[in-house]
Amino acid sequence: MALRAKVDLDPPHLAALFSTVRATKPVMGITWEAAARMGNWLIGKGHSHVVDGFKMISFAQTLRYRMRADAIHRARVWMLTATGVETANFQPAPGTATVVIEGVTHHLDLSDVASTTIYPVVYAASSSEIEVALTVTPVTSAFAVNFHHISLFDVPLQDLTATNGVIDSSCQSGNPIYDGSAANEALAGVHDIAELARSTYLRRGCLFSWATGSPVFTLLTTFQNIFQRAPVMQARCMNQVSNATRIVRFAAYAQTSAGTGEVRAVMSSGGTATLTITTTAQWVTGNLTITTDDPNAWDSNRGIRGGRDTCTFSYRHTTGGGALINLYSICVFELPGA
Amino acid sequence: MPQSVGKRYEYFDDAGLRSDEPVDTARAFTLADNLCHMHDVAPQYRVNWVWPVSAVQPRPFGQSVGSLLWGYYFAFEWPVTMSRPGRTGLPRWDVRLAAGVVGAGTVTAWVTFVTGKASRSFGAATGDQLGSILSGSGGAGMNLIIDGSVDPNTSTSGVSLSPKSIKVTDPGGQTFSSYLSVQCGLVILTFADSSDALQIGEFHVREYVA
Repeated sequence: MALRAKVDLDPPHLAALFSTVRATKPVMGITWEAAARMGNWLIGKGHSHVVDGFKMISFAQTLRYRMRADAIHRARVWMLTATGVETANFQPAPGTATVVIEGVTHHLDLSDVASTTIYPVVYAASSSEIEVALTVTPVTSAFAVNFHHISLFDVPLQDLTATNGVIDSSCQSGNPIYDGSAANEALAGVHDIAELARSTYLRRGCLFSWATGSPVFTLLTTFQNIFQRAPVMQARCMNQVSNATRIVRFAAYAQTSAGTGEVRAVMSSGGTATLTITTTAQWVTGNLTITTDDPNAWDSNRGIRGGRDTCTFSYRHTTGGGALINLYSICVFELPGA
Repeated sequence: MPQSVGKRYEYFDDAGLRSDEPVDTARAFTLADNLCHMHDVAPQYRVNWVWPVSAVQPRPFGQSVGSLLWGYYFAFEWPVTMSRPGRTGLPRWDVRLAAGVVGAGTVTAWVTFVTGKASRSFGAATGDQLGSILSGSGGAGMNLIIDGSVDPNTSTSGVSLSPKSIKVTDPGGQTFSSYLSVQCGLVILTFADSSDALQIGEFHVREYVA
């Protein structure tokens, strides 16, 4: 039986990790076992991939989001909080609707009180950017689904394989310190798993996501703001304190009726990215530079580096002449990296 | 425990962790420090909404409200896997809310987090007449802004995270972890007359730990 890397429900006791690591004092095996399990917990925790909300759907619509998967077989859950409303007067009303996720049709729980429904979905391991989608169909007539919140996040894993977690038993008291880097064992394995968490698994997944099945559109050739406000985005500082910015992925699902269009993101910190949209309905992606957390300002400024870094999203048709650009989705998410 | 511990991630050479020699204490400490830092920054974005300029918004947003005293609570929840034995503090939430009133009137709004048995509110703010927000002014009329943090530890109402178990089983029969959840509600308001309405422009929640 292959060795497994155990993941605790809760992270190990942090104080134990610190208090036993002191110059001239021996470091006990229990400390390194705790460190190994902490590394596994960090890897197994997973990301948020979609955080969206407030959309009223009165006819069948598909909501498309884009995310970066990771190379671990993951169970994720869609968490949908919604009420039913009458389309005539927007008053709360019970009704029924269906949600199709990955080809499986689910019943959506809609009472006149906001209710949350959870759909577990097992996604294959992948290191690619993928689309995750919901098709929502109200069943009751003259009735709409009023979503308060739509989210998708990883379920914490119970254990990891020896390729993506550290074998915690290799760090137990009495074991030798050896070069276990290749096998993800011993202290070098703990170090490697910490680096893996920093570079890949502990990046924030979703920074911003928005989707509609009924597209917003413009015929104008000057950039038009898509949203009333410029949303805040902030990447994790998982590096040296001087690492004040990070490149993240900016993605849009859109198409034009003819010619080309553009979807643009402009950060208040200066980063900008422009995506070119064609007549093919598809995801188009680019890179965007945003600021990171400020580890020196957790208490003083909630980790915000200076002022908030906000993003102004806008779009336009490049040539106009009656042609329009239809926009369905915008997603921004972190990527693995140095 | 030093307060600076776990505040940042530091690169280091792992050579001293590979041999059968005594462990280099500096490297060992840095490794422990890095792990704790990553534990502390593990929380996620949970909410980051803005409303499209041209989209129809659900009631009450953009709709008139025929009541002088009227409340709204939008509930949602997200899992919290943080527990911090040996460390002070639970996750805090960095929150920003921007809203405006259509028509004349006064609106008061605040954000309430409900964590099982107790709630924690913050950031009451009041805005007056804002003009024609629905014309698509790009948010210029949104002068009701709450920007701050919610810290369960400073609550006098004794906020605590109470377990709410959610079990998920994959087709292979493996049962995954349960976790806690936090609910967040928003906005109680009053209007001057029945022609007024509230419009939300932005709601942002980011977990953090300090």
